[in-house]
Amino acid sequence: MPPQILIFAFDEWLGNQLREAAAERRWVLREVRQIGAFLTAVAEVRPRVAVVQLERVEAGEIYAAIVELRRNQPETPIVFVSDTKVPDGEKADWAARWFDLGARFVMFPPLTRAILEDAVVGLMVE
Amino acid sequence: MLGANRRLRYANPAWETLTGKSFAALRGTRISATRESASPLWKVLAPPVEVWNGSAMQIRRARPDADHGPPWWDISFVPLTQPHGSAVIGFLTQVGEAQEKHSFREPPALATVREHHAKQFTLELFAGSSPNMQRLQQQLRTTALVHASVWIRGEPGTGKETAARVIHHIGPWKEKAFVALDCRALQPYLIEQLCIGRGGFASSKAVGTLLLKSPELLPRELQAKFVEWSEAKNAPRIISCSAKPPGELVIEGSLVPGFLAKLAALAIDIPPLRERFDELPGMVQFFSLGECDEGIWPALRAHSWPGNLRELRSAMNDAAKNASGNLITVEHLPLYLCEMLLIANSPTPRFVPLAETLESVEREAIKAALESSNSQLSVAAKRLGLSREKLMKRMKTLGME
Repeated sequence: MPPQILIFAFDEWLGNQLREAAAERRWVLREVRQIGAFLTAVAEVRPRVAVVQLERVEAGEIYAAIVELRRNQPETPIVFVSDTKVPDGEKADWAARWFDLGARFVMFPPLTRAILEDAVVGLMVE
Repeated sequence: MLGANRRLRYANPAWETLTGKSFAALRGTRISATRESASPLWKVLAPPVEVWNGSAMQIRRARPDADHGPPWWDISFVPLTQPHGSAVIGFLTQVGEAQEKHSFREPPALATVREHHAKQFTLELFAGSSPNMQRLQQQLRTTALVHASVWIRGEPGTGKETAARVIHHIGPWKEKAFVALDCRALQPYLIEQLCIGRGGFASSKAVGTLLLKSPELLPRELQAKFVEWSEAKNAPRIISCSAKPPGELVIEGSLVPGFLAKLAALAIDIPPLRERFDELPGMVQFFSLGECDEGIWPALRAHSWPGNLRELRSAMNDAAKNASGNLITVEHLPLYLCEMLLIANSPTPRFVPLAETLESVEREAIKAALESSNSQLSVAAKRLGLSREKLMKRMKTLGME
């Protein structure tokens, strides 16, 4: 089975940013829109990397799911992508706490394809 | 206004208000950005060399007490040519308002989940009765109490990050965050941006422990920046981990010596899984994958586990899947582990002491030579490539007289 990138996002934007990089390397890109589907997919396909979009920074349900994922599959690196604009002075505070939950990389708007690709491809290859 | 010798000649009361300095006290001070002893104020106010060469310039600089604006100080430098040399007038304007300092408040949901997550990382994870494990537990316990840098060495998959987490979560800085950065997977610019870049961890007090995984893979300049950061006030505790000891990496040239001196104050070695077989049941139980039949332990002990705990977890995950919620038995283990068990249980070939074998061969060869030469010692010795004396001596040793 080829390596998989699993994306949990609320729309296609994140997937579109990574589609080209995945296709070039013959990786499978799988997108889910629901937390339940995300956890099921993680257990079934054991993705090489999971990319998680945080719609609201208070999203407790997502955090609990992430902890569950880290406990069961600690080898799966998770990239957190916030789509909420965070004041510059607070980015480090948020990022530190998301890393504490087990994120391997954290991104804030403005999101750029280059950085997203660099982070996800690096973690996939590793 | 600065005179030809770059000394402060005049400043108005508005300048005094903006800088908080008294002109009377500073009159005649040489204003230079290049002198080592130059204060931050002089560095901001010093005209560039182009202005002294006769070009007017407008420059935006951060205030002396800040790394960046707003507010900014916009300074218009105007060179003046005078009979006794050039002078410079600077017009200083403050631009923009200081940004309101953000007061971060962690949402309760996030705090609760983090707390729950942190509770997993206890010393029990490294429990064991062997001297190695007892020592490791003691080291983790002691290290957690001091804010010193640590170097954790261990084979891949031995649990280096877990050990770093335990140190963080049982220590006094557990309220802060644990951040692990994989220097193998993330490009150096991403790591630098996250840590030392604008708005990075260095600008926050949120990180309690920073784990650098394989820091020897970072460019040397970036390694040096981490060394520098570690000496800053409010810097997090830095733990590094790698498969090799830091001294070896310095000799190889992949680690800057400063890293060894400043960021490897304490050293912890994590033994590989093959040296911790006594703890196998406890480790498997920690994975909480289901009940295990006693018969699986010999199979697990028959393998050398080059991937250590990571490999064990993966194998047990597969076994749990195969068992579908039932008791995990040898049949559920991955095939390669079953094969290992078969090899381990196969009868061991019988080994005969080498001296006995050689003597037996010698005896047969001498007997054959004597038979073929009608027991004539000289002829037999010749056929065996020996002198008569040597053959007699050998026969005596072998008890063939």
